Amino acid sequence: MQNRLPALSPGLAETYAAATDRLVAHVHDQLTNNVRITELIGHNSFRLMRDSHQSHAALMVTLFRSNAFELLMRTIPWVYRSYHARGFAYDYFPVELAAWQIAIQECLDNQVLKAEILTVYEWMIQHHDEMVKCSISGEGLFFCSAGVQ
Amino acid sequence: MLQVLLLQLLGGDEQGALKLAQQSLHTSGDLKRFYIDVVWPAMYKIGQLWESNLISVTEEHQATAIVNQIMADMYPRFAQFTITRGKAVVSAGPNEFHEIGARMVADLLELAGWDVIYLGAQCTPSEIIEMLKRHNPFVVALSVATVFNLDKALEIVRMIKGDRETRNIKVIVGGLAFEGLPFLWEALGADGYAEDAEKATRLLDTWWSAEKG
Repeated sequence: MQNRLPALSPGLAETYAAATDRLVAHVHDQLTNNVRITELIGHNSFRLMRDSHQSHAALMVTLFRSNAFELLMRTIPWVYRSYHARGFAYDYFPVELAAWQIAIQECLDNQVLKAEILTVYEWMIQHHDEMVKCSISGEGLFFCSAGVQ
Repeated sequence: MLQVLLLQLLGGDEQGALKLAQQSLHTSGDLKRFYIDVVWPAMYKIGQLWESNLISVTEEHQATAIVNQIMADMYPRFAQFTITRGKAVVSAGPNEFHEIGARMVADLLELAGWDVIYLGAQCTPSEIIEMLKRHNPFVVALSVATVFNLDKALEIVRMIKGDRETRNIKVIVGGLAFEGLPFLWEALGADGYAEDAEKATRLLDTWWSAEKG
């Protein structure tokens, strides 16, 4: 069972934590300029969307500080489920994650740390369909044999 | 009883819920079982209903307010203040506004003889640290319901363990944020974790016996 992220470089969590305000702002700017955004967020407010970015950043900081991969596997289906129940389209999430990837590319300088963080985001995007299935079935902890390689 | 209370909470029936508790609870043992077997699963279900958007946030808050009212009404009837153990500071985690779990822990610890200082919800890390320095408790219990507040919980545990004045204070964590992630307390740097208020009481008693005999 792969239930830990690959060894993360020292300082990764704090680098990400220190950049969260810039990252959140960058992601928010990208998404508010997306022509499909109103449809993707189910006509909810941009404030709710921005709050979700803050929550996402907090989750990732905990993940990187704790190296507890199960946190993602449990929380993402919950996030999908609760936001989808309020009108967010499932298609919103990969669009949002891609925006995070761009923000990370543009806001962080350290190439090594950036690559490690992007690996985690790539994993989330790759497993989007499974996350949707788990959010629908009500599961939180799912496919525990999966892991970031 | 769980189903009855749940329907009362969902229906906003505060008087009915209070009456149910008043007619059903006769001893501190009843109160403990009510917290663990009725209130906790009822609020868990309320949370699930909110998550699925089957109830609104206002309905969730109304249910929470009713439960708070029941606890405020029932606990003083069984409270005892004979202190047989050490000081325990109990708080919801920083940024966390869900406080019923922390309140259950505070009540059950007090019933078990702990000298409880209950801080409620939304204390900042520095405020909690200040309280710990002022009271030098044996243990601090932090309840975190929302997974997005775990970063702040991690921050305060680091502050406690990194400060010469507070590093020997034991830290126990619990709450819904840890559900399905029982290993996470170690990653946070806490000394222990409990799934519910009853288990928290048991673990603290174990620690107390081990240190104070």
